[in-house]
Amino acid sequence: MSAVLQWSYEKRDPISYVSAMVLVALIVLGLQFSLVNLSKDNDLEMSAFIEHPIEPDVIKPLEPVKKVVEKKEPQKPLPEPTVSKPAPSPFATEAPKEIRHQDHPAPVERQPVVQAPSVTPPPPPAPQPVPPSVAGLYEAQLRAYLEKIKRYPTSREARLTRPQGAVRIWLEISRTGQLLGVGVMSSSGSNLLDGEAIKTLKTGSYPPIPEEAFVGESSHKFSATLSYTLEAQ
Amino acid sequence: MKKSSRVFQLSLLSAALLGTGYFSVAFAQKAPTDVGTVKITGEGDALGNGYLIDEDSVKTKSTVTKSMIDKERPSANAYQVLNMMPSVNASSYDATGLFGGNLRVRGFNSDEMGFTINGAPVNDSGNFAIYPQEYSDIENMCEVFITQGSVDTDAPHVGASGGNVGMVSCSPKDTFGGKFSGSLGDLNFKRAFMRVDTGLIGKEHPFKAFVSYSTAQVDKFKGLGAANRHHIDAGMDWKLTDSTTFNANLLYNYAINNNFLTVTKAEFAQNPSLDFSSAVPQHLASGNENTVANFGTTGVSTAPRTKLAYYGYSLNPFENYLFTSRLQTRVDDKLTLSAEPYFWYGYGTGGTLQTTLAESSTGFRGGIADINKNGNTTDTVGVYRGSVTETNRPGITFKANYDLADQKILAGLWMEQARHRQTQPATTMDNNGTISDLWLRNNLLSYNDGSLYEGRNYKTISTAYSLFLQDTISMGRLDIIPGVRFSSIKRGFTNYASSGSGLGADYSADRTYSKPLVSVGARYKIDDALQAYANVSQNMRAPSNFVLSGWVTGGTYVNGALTGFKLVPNNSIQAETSVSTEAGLRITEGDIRGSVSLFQVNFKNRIAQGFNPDTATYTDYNVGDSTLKGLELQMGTKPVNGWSLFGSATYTQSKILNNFPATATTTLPTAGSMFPDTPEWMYAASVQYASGPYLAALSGKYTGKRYTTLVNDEYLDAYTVFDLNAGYRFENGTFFKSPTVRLNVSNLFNKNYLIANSGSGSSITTSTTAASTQGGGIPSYYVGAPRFVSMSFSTDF
Repeated sequence: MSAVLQWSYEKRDPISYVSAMVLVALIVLGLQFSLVNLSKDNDLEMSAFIEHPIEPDVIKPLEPVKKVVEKKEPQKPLPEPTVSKPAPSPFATEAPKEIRHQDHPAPVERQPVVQAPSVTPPPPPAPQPVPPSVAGLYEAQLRAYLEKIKRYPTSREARLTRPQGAVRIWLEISRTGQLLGVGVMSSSGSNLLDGEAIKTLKTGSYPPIPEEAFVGESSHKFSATLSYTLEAQ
Repeated sequence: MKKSSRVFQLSLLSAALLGTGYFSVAFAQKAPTDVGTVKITGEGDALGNGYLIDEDSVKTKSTVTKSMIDKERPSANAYQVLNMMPSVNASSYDATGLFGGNLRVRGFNSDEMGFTINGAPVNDSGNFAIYPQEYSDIENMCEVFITQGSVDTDAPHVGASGGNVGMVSCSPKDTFGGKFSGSLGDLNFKRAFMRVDTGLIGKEHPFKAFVSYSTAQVDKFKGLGAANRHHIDAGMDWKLTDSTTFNANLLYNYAINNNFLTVTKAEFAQNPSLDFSSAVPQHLASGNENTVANFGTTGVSTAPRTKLAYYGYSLNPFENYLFTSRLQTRVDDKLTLSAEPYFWYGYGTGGTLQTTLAESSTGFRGGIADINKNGNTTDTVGVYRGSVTETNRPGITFKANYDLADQKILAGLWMEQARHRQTQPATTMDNNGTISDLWLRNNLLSYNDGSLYEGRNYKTISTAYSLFLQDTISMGRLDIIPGVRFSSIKRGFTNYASSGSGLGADYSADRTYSKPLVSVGARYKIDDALQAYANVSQNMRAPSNFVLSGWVTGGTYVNGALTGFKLVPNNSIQAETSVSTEAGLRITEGDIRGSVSLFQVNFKNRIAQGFNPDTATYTDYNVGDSTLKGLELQMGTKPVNGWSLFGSATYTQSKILNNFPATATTTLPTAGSMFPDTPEWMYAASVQYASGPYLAALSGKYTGKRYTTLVNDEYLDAYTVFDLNAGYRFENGTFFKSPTVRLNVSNLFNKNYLIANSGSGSSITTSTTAASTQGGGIPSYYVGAPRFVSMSFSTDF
């Protein structure tokens, strides 16, 4: 190894000229490609460039109810709370780049065929018909709040091991907005991420549930998926 | 959706049936209402141009993420990457980073801080020095973090009194592909980089790996000479079972670079481009080269210099590799275990290696044999002699993380054994400047008894370990993190007799430095926008191995061996310790993130070259205590309409508390002085605009006036340097993905400035006037690199 490198050190000038020529050739090629493709749409991706140009709209709670409802992820059957199944992908991650750019309400693009939203029609047995938008709005508000307080773990362990994965958690909120309980429904495969998700939820302060939503319940249980990824692979 | 709506109906139904009573037991059976997926990226959404993450540590910490690292010139080293962080006073010997540089944080030099790559320590095992140009290519680096002032409890360091820095490699990619990057610039700068990723292979036990190679070179900006580097990075991730993963990284670096001449302020004023000589020193038939000006090793401290070494004999050849790995298994939903073996190998020499040696027929091993092969042993001959260091350093860290509901316990053991071989052989060079072996492996000079000449010859076996335990206790909004580590290093030192002063006879010595180090931190979440934190931590740095060298005094040579000598041990030196106290506030408000912190460091038994009354010589010695107090601020924004900002500010008040023992009878009045190379004020700001395929980022760093001697009788003026990074991303081609052209301009306004030459914590000039005492004299400085422009083209495929 050393001998080869020493040789290349001694011959560094000719070598670097060759590499410079290769570089120039590649730039020219690259320019050609780009000229050819100028008419294509501008959907480019490069992590260093795109700086999260648009904040996800979901932070604003005033979204049409239907959209909020669509955000649910019915494709995953809810696992038993005790099951701790690691995330489906082998390294527990989807390609992060793609998701980031079209990143609006994140899970929408993974929706299967949308079924008739069933929150909208008022449930017949309810004593007083609930305006469906109130519960929906509250869910949206909750989601937006989670967006606000979300955090990738920052411990030395986390920064070195850089775990990825999606943890499905539940949280129970009382009418007054008190957190009554939290738990993991399905693990991310990393205790570090599971713990971070629980910590995030536990230190939150939640809005009271409006009277019109979840009528008759003294508290309501919600679930959410916290998907931890790394920006750059 | 169907399911959740049914839940909704059911809950309404049960509410109707049961009234409004509390029925959590019944309710617990039902599926909750799903609010969707929230995505969290480890990089922190490109906060503050990539200079920030959403931090919630109990310590002051700064993190540079991939989105920033990608904007740098591809040859940049870790010091350059960290330069904008609060408290960081980083400098680079040139704009590309290939020559290395220096780093000081809160008054601590880089050799007083612990550095890791993927968790494995990379400080020199003998003197804790750091060579940032040896590490990963930045294309493969995902993150660099710095903990200013305090060392993480679980970090593998015994030589860190001033905080730690971690460099983290990116994992291999999930999809098959690669990356090419090529750069051209001023001063013949050329760099090519190629990386190939296998993508995921296999379904049941998926495996992915990457390998990359880069070569880079650039000429010095003054004088003759260049830096030349070849680098290989490789990494793999392997999922052995659902709960067990194995990943490993290898880096290999081969570098040869010429040195820049350091100059005094007066010399710089007279000739800003003063550098090593371009003339090859010529061997003389007369054989007495000691009297010839151009074979002198060091110039005298007056300008213009009368003696300058040849540039080709002032260089740093270095070769190193580092293997790191982690086997991690999640035993259950509470316990995670990991084992992280690593191996470091380094070989190299460096400095100004031009000197003269006198042949002899008497003395140690019968004297130095005929160097110039003229048949006698009466000549003094110009030779190439260097301090060679070869290190073999295996180590391993075991960790257990136990996650309970409101507690996270981390326990672990780090241990390593570094075998450190330090020699100083010499070889010949000819009248054309050709060195027989610039690596000093072959064609070495001998003594008359046939053994190899050595100016020093030691072996140090440093056995270090650290046992650590940390508990993260959550009490609602309050987290308390107590931690303790017991760190220990045993230096097993063997001196093999050599020609060096104080090294003429064989001896062995052991020293063990160990200390329990306690830390406690707390964090309180005031509300969603505000977080307060505080911590106190103890840190220690063991003395270098060379305090065990040079103990031989007196004696005479009889038949080539020293007899009648005495050993005078340096017994009094202790580890330097520091106590770092911090309190800070973090703000997360809308698009803005910021933190402000107050810190105080009490630094005890600082180790420096001083007059040691034990040995009556100048050795590394505990010279006293110091305190540092200050304020750090960092703030950044998320991109808003394409614009994003980052800024940091640091105020440091440093004070040396003791006078300095300069000779047996004199002490220098250092008490009350400021710490060297520790400016009171530093500011950094970066503004970035990104729109569509365009990106431009302008950053500036102000470094205040800083003293360069311990008695504060010389200082360097404040300076501000601006850098511009711009890029344009082309559309994807049929083969290329994200082809990008970048322009990197360093020192945009071509500012002239000088950089303190504080290569190690102990080598600080004491006073400009006390030239006769150790460490006295006029300090010399590195010259700040002038404007430098380079272009890079990179593409994925």
